[in-house]
Amino acid sequence: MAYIQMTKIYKIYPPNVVALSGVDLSLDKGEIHSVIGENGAGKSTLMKILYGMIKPSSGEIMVNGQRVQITSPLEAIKLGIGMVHQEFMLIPSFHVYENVILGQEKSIAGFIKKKQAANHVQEIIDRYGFKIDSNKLVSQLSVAAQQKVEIIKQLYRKADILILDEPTAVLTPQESDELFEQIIELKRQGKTIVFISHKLDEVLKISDRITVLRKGQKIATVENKNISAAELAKMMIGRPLSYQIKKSQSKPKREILSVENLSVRSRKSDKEILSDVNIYVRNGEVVGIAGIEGNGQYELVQCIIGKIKPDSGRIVINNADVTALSIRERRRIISYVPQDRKYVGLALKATILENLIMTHHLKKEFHKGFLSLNWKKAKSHAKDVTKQFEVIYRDLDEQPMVLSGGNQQKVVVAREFSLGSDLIVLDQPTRGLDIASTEYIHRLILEMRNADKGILLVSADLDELMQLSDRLYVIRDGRIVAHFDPNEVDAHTVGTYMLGAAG
Amino acid sequence: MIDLTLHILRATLSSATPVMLAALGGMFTYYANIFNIAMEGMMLTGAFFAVYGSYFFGDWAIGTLFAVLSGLLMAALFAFFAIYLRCDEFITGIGINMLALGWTTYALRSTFNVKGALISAKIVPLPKWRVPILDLFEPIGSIISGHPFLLYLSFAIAVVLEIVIFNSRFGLHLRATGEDPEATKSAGINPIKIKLLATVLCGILSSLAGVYLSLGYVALFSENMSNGRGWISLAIIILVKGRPISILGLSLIFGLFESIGLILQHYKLAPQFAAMTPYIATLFVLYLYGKRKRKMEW
Repeated sequence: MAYIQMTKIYKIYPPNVVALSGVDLSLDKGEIHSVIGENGAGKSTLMKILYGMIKPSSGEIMVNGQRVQITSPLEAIKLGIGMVHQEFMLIPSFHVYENVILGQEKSIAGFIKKKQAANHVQEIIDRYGFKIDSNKLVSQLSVAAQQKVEIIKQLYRKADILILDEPTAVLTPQESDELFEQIIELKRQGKTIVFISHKLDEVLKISDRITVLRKGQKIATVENKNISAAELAKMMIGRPLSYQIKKSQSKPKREILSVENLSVRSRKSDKEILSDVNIYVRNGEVVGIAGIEGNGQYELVQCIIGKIKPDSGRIVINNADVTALSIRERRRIISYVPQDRKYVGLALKATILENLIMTHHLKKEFHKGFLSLNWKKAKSHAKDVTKQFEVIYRDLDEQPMVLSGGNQQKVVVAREFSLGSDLIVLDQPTRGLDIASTEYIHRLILEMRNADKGILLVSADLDELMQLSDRLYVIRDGRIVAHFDPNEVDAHTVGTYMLGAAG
Repeated sequence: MIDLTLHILRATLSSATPVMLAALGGMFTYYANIFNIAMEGMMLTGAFFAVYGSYFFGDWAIGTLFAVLSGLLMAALFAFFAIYLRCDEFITGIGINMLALGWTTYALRSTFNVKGALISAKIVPLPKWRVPILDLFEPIGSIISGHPFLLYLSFAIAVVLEIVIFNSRFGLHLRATGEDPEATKSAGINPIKIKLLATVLCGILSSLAGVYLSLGYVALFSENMSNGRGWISLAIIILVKGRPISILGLSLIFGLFESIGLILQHYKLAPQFAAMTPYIATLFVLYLYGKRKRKMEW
């Protein structure tokens, strides 16, 4: 008998959005069970139903053969089900132990014995071999350590089943390996683990069984024996994965962007966020910046765009020093896809048309008279680029809010790539996108590269960087610590530099 | 001169009390991340109903009870609109403050047939406590002893809350709710419940601030008696980021400014100008705070 049996789970959001359509899932005690699927396939929804965060429209859940109604996370915890979310549910200003005990505090007359609580949490941390100090503030921990705190939180609540929602999305290869060891240790101590992912190699590495979801339906549950990544991918996206990036050798001739001795000091913490950064981008190449988030890559991009004024150093674009220029002046020569597409990349309350014409409106050809824009021309331009960049929309006068994440990003990319600038700065261009959109944007990036543009690509996705970059810088603590040809190194080596573990 | 200093210091404690009580009330909503500006209105209704109860029943305790009930009503109103219906917290707060002003003014005129202020021997004030041990040590005794008991209670509440906020389950849940309600919810705590509780506690403490105004400070009710003290309490809360013990400290500073202002009225200074002192102090402290914060940013 299965430990947990979910039967014919439906979730329909009115009026007619079907998130899950009759999904079955069974979990055995002590197994590592992966649930895979594209973004929007329903993995998270299914798991949130098991964790009591979402109420299913219909369906049945059995735990140990008993039919149960899981109406809240509290209920789930009582049944021994714990979940580690993709977005951490931690209070940054709290200590590790406070986060762990939150909601399940042992108290005398309402007061908590802090020292005892911290010691108790430390015992759990040590028992499972995590290396974390229960007295540290969560805000001081790395992302990987915060994730461990989430796991410890569930262990403190005596969870027997741990649902991990895309736990490796935010980790370096080394950190992922460490997490896998931890997961196997948890399994050894009798825990059941549900591993949600879309990274197939990881899934194949640690799972006992794999369940594949696609568009809200369960495609199959398979034993992890004699199955290949290609077969899984086919089940996952319904067609074979076309996507094998092939690049010609890049033949750069001239420098497009050159960042020289750039330093930025934060007035808040008086720490150097960028120290003496030197990078260059030439025409016809993709230059990647790898690094664990928060190591200065965001600030580097902001410096190039002009949002942050550097304390020292120079930024040269097309042989002209732009260090003193305003954002607006720079935007005439830079195409820029920001990491926050909702609030920086787009104006969500403006129309799709207006979003597509922004920045282009600075060009003379879109002016009409002294103050007005040539809307007719703007519209035909918008139609052209949406066609060229495969943006799917109903009406240009609608707000970009109605578009899917992938299409929103395509609006930004269409606007920026059609500017025709020699320099393209991309900050996390595919974050949170489904596989098809990601694949499409990757293809566009290479097209731009082949059209002789210089591309600076900042990404947290190391695979993406390894596939697309012609050259790769690694940034750590605001310094460029390595400079590679990605063909000559593997992801693990890059990871070592990202972590600062290399000599 | 010594007499004057003693007088100012004594008045400082008294002036600090209502502002501190309201700030401690607002502290709960501050930690729960509710933008609550309704302390002013809650204080004003508290002040009115304290006088109402005391006048008709001849008992300060019943006055206090009435005040607390009115505070609960105001808190319930705020919670209904801002938390249950999710209306804008700021607008709801303004509504509550205007309702309080209109309602108490109307009730004063229609119940007691007076305009401006109700002064009556029938209003029984809060009893004053002498602290026998302190009386032995002059001049400390003459500063600290002989205030209405609510003053001592308020200072005790400030200290107790400092411990509650940082060492109790409720304190942990409250701060967690304010910082990230989603994360708090996932820990099995109902953030809505915590927010409701914070609002109710704010209502109770703010109405007690009103009780101190109308039955402790003096024994009368006048229109718009709270006179901006709720806003000052808000400024205090924001300045000290909610910390109860710092609220106590900053309230004393504002108390000092207010009592100096009151004293200045005896010295040919226009009373309107004197009345401005605490607000000028507020602006001054805000300036220092803003300057420090600006330095911290990019």
